[in-house]
Amino acid sequence: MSPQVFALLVDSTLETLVMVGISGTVATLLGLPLGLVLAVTGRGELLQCLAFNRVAGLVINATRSTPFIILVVAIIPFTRLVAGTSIGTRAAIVPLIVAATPFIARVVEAAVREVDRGLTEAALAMGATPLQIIVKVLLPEALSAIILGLTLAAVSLIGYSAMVGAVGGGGLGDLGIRYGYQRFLPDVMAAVVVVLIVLVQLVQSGGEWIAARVNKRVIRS
Amino acid sequence: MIELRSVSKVFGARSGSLPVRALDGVDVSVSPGEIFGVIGPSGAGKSTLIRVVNLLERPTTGRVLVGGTDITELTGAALRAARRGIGMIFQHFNLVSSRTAFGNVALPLELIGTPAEAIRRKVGDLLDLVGLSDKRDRYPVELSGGQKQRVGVARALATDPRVLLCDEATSALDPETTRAILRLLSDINQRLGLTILLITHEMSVVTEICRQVAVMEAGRIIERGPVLDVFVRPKTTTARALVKAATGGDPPDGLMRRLVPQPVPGGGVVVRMVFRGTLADQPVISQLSRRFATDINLLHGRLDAIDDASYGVLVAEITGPPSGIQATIAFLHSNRLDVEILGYVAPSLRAAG
Repeated sequence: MSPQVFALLVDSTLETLVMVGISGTVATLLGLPLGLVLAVTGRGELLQCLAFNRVAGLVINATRSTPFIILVVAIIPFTRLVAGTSIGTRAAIVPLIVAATPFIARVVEAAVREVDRGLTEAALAMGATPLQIIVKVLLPEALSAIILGLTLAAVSLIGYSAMVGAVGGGGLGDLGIRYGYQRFLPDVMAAVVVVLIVLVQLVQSGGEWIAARVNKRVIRS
Repeated sequence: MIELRSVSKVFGARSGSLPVRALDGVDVSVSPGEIFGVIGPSGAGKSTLIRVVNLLERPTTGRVLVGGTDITELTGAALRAARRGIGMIFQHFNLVSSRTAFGNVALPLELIGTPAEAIRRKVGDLLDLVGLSDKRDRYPVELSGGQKQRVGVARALATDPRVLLCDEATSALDPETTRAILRLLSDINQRLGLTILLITHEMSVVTEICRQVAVMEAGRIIERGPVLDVFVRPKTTTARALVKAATGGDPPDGLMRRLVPQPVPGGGVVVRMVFRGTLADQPVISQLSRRFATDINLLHGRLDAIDDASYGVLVAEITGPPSGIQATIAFLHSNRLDVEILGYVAPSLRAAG
């Protein structure tokens, strides 16, 4: 592998990390509260609000059922509005956020719903406000599952980020397609795949490690 | 201290399904400092009844007074303040798994913004009270069921409530741990003057610590009174079944099957006698035999004490001349013993038995 290609590989890896890092962070900031709200507004939940719950659910489902590559193209006007451009790494971050936010919201919702209802009841009996229950009981109890969910989201984002080469997003996927596939450079393709595997492994192991550390439901030796 | 006035709760009235009447015009009155038990089979509405007291379930109709305040009129901050005066413990403990024993007991105090130093002191005292000082930094997963319930009790007492609700608090515990937790409850009842309302499906829990009991079935209270009365002389089938489950049963089934409803010539009568208080110490049986020339064959019996009052239940077959049998029963009645004729047996019973 020539030094130039190696430099490309390093650049592409950084681009992927930037795209996944920024979109993952923003999507978490949006998806976490959304997921919490979804969880507590469901039927029979703490702050039941079915109208909101249904509408939000519908929008989330619609976003999640759109194939990512179509989503990227379909929201180009929105991307241009937000990022000022529709091409490049900066532009690629927008559809990644749009795709990851509902995913994270659902993952968080599921994690919070898993918390034993008895805990909510006990907190209510203590005279806790709904906000106190969310902050002091639901979030801490769901934290381990939320972290695992965010890990899953990060891994998916790494996969998605490979597709944004379609809008000149750069990153490892783009490198693999343009050099590995279109220019018949199998060693570049192999290198891209290896880096992706290592990235995913690191994210997954890191997430599992943190999740295990915050999980107090099993005795750690 | 706690008063439920014709409280009803109907579930599922709005959705299309058939409404369920979990509580049907229930009246309960618990005096300050009393331990009041509500017992009944599952599905009787006990859980709904106890959850109405701190408004975890809002009654469909009726009033709930705790310490003189009608809590059904409260909402928002006023309701939360009222709930702080009502502690609650649960069958499955409902501890926050991400908090240590200390953190769990501290939670209600954190909610009302107690300063950290005051929390440290108060939680230390409470863990002392329930005998868990050495487990303060343990997570719930590291505690046994009994220890978890002790944390639950300490947590429920953190805001100095005057009322403690126990929702099947010992049903997930083994008999020995159950007794230990009941002793703890009885202890804090005496030390803190706490009013305790507990629900259970086990008669042994009621006889162990309650003074008053109400028996529930199908959303109604079908029997109530001092525990000793209800236990010794249950009036309803449900109460009888609960007593039976607690004591290992009435007379042997084999005997019960041989009973006939009408007297048999030359046969005997099978009676159930209940002795109470000091009567249990008198030699009643030997007196009977001597005075009326009847034979008394004891078939089944039990002596026990509730609330420091001893009582005994005997099932006996009385044989002899019909006049003697009648005189015997009259004598028992005159001694203010409860005598219930269970049935009659043919003479063959004695030969067989």
